[in-house]
Amino acid sequence: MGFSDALRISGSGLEAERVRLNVLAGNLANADSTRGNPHGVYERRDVIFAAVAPGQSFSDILNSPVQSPVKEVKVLGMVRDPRPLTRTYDPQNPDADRDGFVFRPNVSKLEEMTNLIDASRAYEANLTALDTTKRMASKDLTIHV
Amino acid sequence: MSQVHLFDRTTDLLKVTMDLRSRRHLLLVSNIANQDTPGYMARDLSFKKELSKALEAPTRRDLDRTDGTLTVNTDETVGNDLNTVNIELEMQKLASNTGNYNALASMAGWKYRMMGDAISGEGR
Repeated sequence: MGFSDALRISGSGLEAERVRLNVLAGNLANADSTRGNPHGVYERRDVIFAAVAPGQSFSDILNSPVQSPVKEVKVLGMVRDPRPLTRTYDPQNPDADRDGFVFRPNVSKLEEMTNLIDASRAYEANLTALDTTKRMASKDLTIHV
Repeated sequence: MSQVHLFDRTTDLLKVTMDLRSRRHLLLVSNIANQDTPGYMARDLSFKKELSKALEAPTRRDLDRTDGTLTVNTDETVGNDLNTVNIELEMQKLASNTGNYNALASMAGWKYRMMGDAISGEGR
């Protein structure tokens, strides 16, 4: 394990946070989409992160005698938020049903914004770590006679 | 006549410490990458005590065997998703570890340049 692994791990962090940013941006963009019935209304999406050993296949992990404490991050998948949709009275809306109600996504703009800031800060932290690794590796090259 | 070592204790110490610091760097980078992973526990490598003990030992063997102790932060009060990464602490550790590593690399550079000067017999 050397600096290339450190670069790979920081890279995995950047990738995971970018995927998260994309999903959060999608939530925010669809926060105001409406439907007259609960089917087909946008449901809030979120990503699941998992810590995995860097650059190893499943059999590598299975056969290695010691589990490496060093982990990269991987996006395992995307899930839909099980929280109920909101139903609001908005008779002027073209999507309104017979009683004047529309269904809106279970997205809270405030929540998405705080998550967005969190993801962007996490992205920056990984970027700083990547830059630090780069500087350490180039410092190694100054060792010469 | 006493035995002459081209690569003395300082070179060994630099080698061992740079190795430990680069391994610690991997752990810190891995903590930063997993700051949002549920259930991930922050890890660190501590070697200060072990290293100073090895330096007091009369033989090199203790120094060569120094490989640090892996510590895991199990304090679950840091986050509510069982993630124990404290990002501010990790960034601070990363900065100090990198500073130390770069200082060691500089020292190793000086050491080898001095050796080169002694071999070539010309001061630069």
